[in-house]
Amino acid sequence: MKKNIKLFMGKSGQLLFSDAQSKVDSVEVSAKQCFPWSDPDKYISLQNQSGDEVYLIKDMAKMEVATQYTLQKHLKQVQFVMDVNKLVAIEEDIELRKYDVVTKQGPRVFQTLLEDWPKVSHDGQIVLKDIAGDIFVIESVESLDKKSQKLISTYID
Amino acid sequence: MNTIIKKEYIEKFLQQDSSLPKEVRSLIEHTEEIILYGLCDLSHDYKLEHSWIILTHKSIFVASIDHNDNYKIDLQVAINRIQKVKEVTSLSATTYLFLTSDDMSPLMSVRFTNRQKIIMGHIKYLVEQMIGEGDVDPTFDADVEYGNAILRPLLEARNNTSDKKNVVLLRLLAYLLPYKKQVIIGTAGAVMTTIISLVPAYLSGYLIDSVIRPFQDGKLTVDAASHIAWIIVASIGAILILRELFSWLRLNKMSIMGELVARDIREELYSHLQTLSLDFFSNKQTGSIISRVSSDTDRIWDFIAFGVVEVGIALITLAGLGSVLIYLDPLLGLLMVLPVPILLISIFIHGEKMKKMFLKAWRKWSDLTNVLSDTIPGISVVKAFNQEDREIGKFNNRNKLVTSEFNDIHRSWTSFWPLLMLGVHAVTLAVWSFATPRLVSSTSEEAYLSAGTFVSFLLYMTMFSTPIEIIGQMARMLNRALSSAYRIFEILDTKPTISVINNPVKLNALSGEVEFSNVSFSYDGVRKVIHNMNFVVGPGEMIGLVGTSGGGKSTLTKLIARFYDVNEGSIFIDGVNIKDLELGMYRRQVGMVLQEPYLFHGNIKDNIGYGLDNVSLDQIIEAAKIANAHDFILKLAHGYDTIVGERGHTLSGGERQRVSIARAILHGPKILILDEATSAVDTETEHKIQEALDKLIKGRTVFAVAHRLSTLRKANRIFVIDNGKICEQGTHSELLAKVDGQYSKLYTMQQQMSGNFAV
Ligand SMILES: Nc1ncnc2c1ncn2[C@@H]1O[C@H](COP(=O)(O)OP(=O)(O)O)[C@@H](O)[C@H]1O
Ligand SMILES: [Mg+2]
Repeated sequence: MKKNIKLFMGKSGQLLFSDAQSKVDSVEVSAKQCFPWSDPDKYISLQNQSGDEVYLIKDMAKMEVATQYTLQKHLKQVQFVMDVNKLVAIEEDIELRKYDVVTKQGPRVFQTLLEDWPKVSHDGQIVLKDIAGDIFVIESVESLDKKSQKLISTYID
Repeated sequence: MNTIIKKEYIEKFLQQDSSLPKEVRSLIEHTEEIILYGLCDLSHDYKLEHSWIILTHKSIFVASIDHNDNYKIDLQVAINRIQKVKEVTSLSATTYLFLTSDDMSPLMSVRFTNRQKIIMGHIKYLVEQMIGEGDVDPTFDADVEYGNAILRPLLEARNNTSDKKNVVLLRLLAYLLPYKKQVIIGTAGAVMTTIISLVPAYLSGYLIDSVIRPFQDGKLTVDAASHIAWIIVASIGAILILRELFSWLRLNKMSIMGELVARDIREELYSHLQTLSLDFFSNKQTGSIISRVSSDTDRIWDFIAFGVVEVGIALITLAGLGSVLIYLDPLLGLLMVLPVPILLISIFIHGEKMKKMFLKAWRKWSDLTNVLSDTIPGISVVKAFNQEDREIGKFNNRNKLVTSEFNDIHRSWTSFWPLLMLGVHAVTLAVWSFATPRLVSSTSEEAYLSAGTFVSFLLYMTMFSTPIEIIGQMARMLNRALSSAYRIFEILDTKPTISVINNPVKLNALSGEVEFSNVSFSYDGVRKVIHNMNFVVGPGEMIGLVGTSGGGKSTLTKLIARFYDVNEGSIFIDGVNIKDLELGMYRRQVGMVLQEPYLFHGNIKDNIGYGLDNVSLDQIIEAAKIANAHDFILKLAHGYDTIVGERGHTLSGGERQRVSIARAILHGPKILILDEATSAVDTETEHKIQEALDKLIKGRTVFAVAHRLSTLRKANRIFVIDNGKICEQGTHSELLAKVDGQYSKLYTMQQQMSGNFAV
């Protein structure tokens, strides 16, 4: 892996990319994971403002520490989802299913379509997407209290 | 949708303020006019906290609640300091950075979830307009736009205006009003059936107590006893016949009436659907609309024909049974009646449990059918990649899961009902054990129970379980019917966006002049897709529309066809405002040939003649010949009688296009719209279509949208549309003469491209 690419933060919080070999100035990029759910730390595409890929990082772990840190900070923003800690109620309504939850970010009520079931990934993460496109993630069934587990169980197993 | 319901929806479903809080408003409004506002529901450290962003003509404000629950302005930034609004998106959050320049820290930044994205997008758009043009001239109401934007995802999923179940039920029952007579006869039949059903058991008891016992005791002669006995048997017979007669009356009237009601609803639905704008159809899935007209109305039939009456009968039966039993013997009667609520409750609880299990099964079921809907249309890919075994494995796997889910359900209900019946039997046993001592006590004792009364009791007891079951299922049935009703009313409550006036102008023969006068249009109320457009196109003129994708060309043509009404300015057709024209008559004189032509299921002949009565075969062939379609149609085995459309013979894109051109030719529209009619076909077919089009456009006002500029060589004028504006116009050569013009750039580029491809 080339060690000489660099990522750093600009003044307005933008992610800047520079490639020591080419003598051009740094360019503003945004990072896009190729496999955001199945392999978030590998294959990260850096794209310039017009959406063209300027570099493809194959493995984040093989990068300079400072660059890794910057990238991770950036990805944390890009990946932002709401983390559900507790379920208060799940109600079926006409055409919609209503979830009343407490997330790490605060309490929230959201709706999904009736046929949009929670998706369980292979490592046990439960992912919900509401009608506005917001994403809610339950780390695992075990991370929930008993009552929440019981509420969600109808929808996942 | 009225504002009160909107407010309720926002507060109940989204749990945020339904408009800008008064305190915030008052902080700003005394100095500046509010254009639009939005809620930022994420803080800088990604907590779900609320603050407001408010846009005025001069500044952007951010306001939030402080520790004392008072609103305060956190930040005010003058618009003229902002050079750029940068958007940083993530899976569930968006951040806007208001920047002076990229290498300075932002003037301000706001963050919000996808829920606020539409309204915030409007604000960003307006700020960018203000940066570009100095100011904006808003023609919308901030509160209305805020509500519309916030509710849009919710209303796309579910659009019914009324949320109260009883209101929906009443509205549904109102459909019975035209059939009062049938309802009354049917209900009377049902009530009579129920009451009469109670009589035979009573008569049986009477027979024992007043005939058989006295006879055995020697108080009645053989003749007298058998005389009375026969009368009773005969009346039981008569009653049974009467009962079935009433039952027939009820079933017959109610099921026929249910069908009529379903028909009425279907009729109303379908004709209402035809009035709705294209927006409605692009927001809903076709399957969902179809199922509302078909299966939802069918469920309503079920509910009206049987549901309402069954439940009614069950209630009457239970009440009747209860009172008869208590009347016959208060003690035993109460013993029977008191456990009934317990039984009902346990049925209800079981029902809730079953509901959850069905939900699970339903989920697994859709997993299974997904395999089907995925692989059957893609069967050629499956075969090409030799994946049959894998797909079979996947299917079998899910099939097993479904089966195990359903077997759980079967295990549950098969054990519940015998258990419940055991409970019922326990009551019976209790009745027996209370009754037996009293049966064998002497007649004079107070506790004495006659054999006849006891027999009546036993017979009545057998009638208890059916109504209990029906009432236990009432909730489910009602819910099913109500959700169907919701889905139907949702469509009926959607208002057509095209307004109809009272005395429309009837233009029978258009000459085809089209004038746009200061026309602006926006799909969502805020983002203008057409900006203040002005032009006059004379009758018979051909206008070519070119420009970048998303520039508004198709929108322009849709406005001409009046699929939408303009927001500002007016469109005049032959000097008459398009809003004053009789829509049907006008549309008949407007023809459209689109990129993706649609053929209805039916033969080619009918597809060419669609919408016209009395077309002769000569005319059809003539039109097909002009459209260059005649030759390929004759190559088909069944000629013009070949069935095409969804389930019929598949024509290629170019062939369908020529059929649709023949259709347009036959219609003889005065205004013709061609929207990328030749984009989806190969060059040779394009040539044939182009030839057909050249014949079609003669003598009509034509608006032709085209990617390939070469197809517009016949145009009298060409409009280059960019960002909702006509940025250049003129003839082909005039436009080419402008060396720096968009058109000449586009032309040079296409020339090079075709040069590269032509070997
Ligand atoms: N039904 C619609 N609802 C909302 N926005 C639309 C709709 N149709 C088109 N638009 C938007 O209007 C703009 C112009 O679209 P359109 O007229 O189709 O452009 P063109 O035909 O020039 O490619 C685009 O930004 C597009 O996203
Ligand atoms: Mg278009």
